[in-house]
Amino acid sequence: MTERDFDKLLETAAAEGLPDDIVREVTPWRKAMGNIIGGSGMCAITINMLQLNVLLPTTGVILQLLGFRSLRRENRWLGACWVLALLRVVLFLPVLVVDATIYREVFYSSGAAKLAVYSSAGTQLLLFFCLWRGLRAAQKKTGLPVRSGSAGALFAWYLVVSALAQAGYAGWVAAVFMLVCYICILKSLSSLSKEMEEQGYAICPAGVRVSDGVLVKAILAFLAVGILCGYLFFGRYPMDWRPEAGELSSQAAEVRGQLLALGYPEGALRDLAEEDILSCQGALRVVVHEIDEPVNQGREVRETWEGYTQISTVYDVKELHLTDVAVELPGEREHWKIFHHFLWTVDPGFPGTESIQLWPVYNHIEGWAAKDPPTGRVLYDDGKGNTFTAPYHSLGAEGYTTQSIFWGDQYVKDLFATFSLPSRGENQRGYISYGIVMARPGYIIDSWINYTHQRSRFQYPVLTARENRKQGGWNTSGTFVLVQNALQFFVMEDGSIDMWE
Amino acid sequence: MHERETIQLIRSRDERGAGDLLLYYGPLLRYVIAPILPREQDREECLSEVAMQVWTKIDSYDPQRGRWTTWLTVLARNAALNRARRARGEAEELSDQIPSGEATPEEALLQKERLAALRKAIDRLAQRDRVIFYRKYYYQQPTSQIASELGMTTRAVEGRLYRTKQKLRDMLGGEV
Repeated sequence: MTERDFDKLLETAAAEGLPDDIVREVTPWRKAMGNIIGGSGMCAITINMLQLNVLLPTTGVILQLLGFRSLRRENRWLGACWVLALLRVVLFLPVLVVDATIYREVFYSSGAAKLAVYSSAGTQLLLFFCLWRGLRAAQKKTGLPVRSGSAGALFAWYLVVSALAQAGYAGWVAAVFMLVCYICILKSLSSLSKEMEEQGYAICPAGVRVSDGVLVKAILAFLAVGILCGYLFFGRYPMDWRPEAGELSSQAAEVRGQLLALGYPEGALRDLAEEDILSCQGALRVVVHEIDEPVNQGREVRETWEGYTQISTVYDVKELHLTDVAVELPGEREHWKIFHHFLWTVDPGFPGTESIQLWPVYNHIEGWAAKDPPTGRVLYDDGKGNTFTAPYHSLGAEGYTTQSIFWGDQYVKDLFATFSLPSRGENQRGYISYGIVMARPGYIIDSWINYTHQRSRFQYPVLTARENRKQGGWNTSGTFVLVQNALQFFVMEDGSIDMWE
Repeated sequence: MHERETIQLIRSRDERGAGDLLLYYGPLLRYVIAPILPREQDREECLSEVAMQVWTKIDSYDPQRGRWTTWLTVLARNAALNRARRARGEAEELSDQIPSGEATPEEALLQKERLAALRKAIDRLAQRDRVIFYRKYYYQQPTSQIASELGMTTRAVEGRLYRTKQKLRDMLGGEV
């Protein structure tokens, strides 16, 4: 049978009956409008679970783009919608890539993030307005009675939600009310679309040079490559590792000898930078507290006796060795320098971001005041007898707001050090120090270190160990693990030390 | 949406029914007619003809047998094709290449079986392929129209149609 005869046969077969489902599908309106309504629905609401806060708006902006792309020639309002949908993609998708890097922390604290958020919300608002006007124009074109209230309601709804978000409203009543309104609007918009199928036949979709499938694949490829690059190349802090400087000055060597004689642990003392050693000149005494802490989840052990079962967690390996040292220094008022050292006794694993949060004595004990600014560094050995050091990626006091079910929102200021460990070498370690001076006698010295270690790169959006800590992360089975330790002692009236273990 | 009222009005011979038909379903009828009849004048005449057919044949419309829009689509498509054939027929009568003669009973039976098999094969196609197939072979839409309405390139539509035809040939056991 020739090609032409076969075509005739196909025509004859097709003419024998037209299925209802085909008639429903053959319209220039249905697909485009389905994309627009579906996309608008996904863009206008945020569900913070199962990554839906990322997946829904991403799918939404892509669907809006596809929908308005085919309707862009219909009238100038729908043309404007297409431009705005394109703008939304340009504003939204790069943020998804930034979210796969540790630089999202910097981005979100910058003016660029605010600009992106406001632009994106403004664009969406304008898009809903243009959609409303566009649907009215499409209806007018066919001479049918204009009925596009639901699109207008969607615009008004988004306007109210934006105003509530701007005002920082977090009440349940309005949220539930707005959610109900939103569902009603979407339902109404969907029935409007069905109604408009009658007029939809008069629409002439714009031709495309790149098919929807190729466009979606290109967007997904951009996201996949961007996110992958973010994970691979922008998941850790750049550290300025240099070989350890040569010999100490004779003065520093002398002070180091004094500290060693006073009981400063030798291994930890070797890590101190020259200026930190010199800052301990004339040290009067040294108080030391050492402990090994696990970073793993341990194993569960069940012991049964006399009908009772006791379940406990046993740690076969304790990866982190913590050494806390307080050095008393001469001065008119009692003056101490606190050192918190950490040492990885095994390979720390994934070299992502690390964070040390200090709760310095002066933050919560009113008898002590801050004296010296925080100092410190990180170190590792290359296994060939060489030691490398680097300053922290950041070190200093940082203010942030904590959320507590007991005390509500609280603004606090703690010392934070951020860094990344090297993927090579051994004995990865470091320390932070700061000084305190007595403000009022009779108060305990109580200095806390909260070490947050990142165990895996698999998280989205990417949080740094510092962000995780600021959000109050305690989880030991997720991406981050927190190790907490404190140096607590009291100087008795007779000058002896009462160590709190 | 306005289906019930329109049908009711036409059935009761209320002239507002004809007005509603053209107002609400005119775009659909024009959409079906347009690809088959290239001339604007033919389209308008065909539209009037279809409106007349709806008016006269409304009693033959049975909602149990199919949707209202399907019935309108079939009427519009057939009216447009008949008009196109009539126009072509005048030209074709001048040609000597038109095969004449009726098919033998064996050929007719064979053709019937082939069509039945083809219908089954079409029903087994993926939904997207079925839609493109009907757009091409029932609605007679040009590839460019199918492409723009489905967000595809014309090349992609052509490729898909080619593969669909190959698939149908394979489904028929390669006998065609």
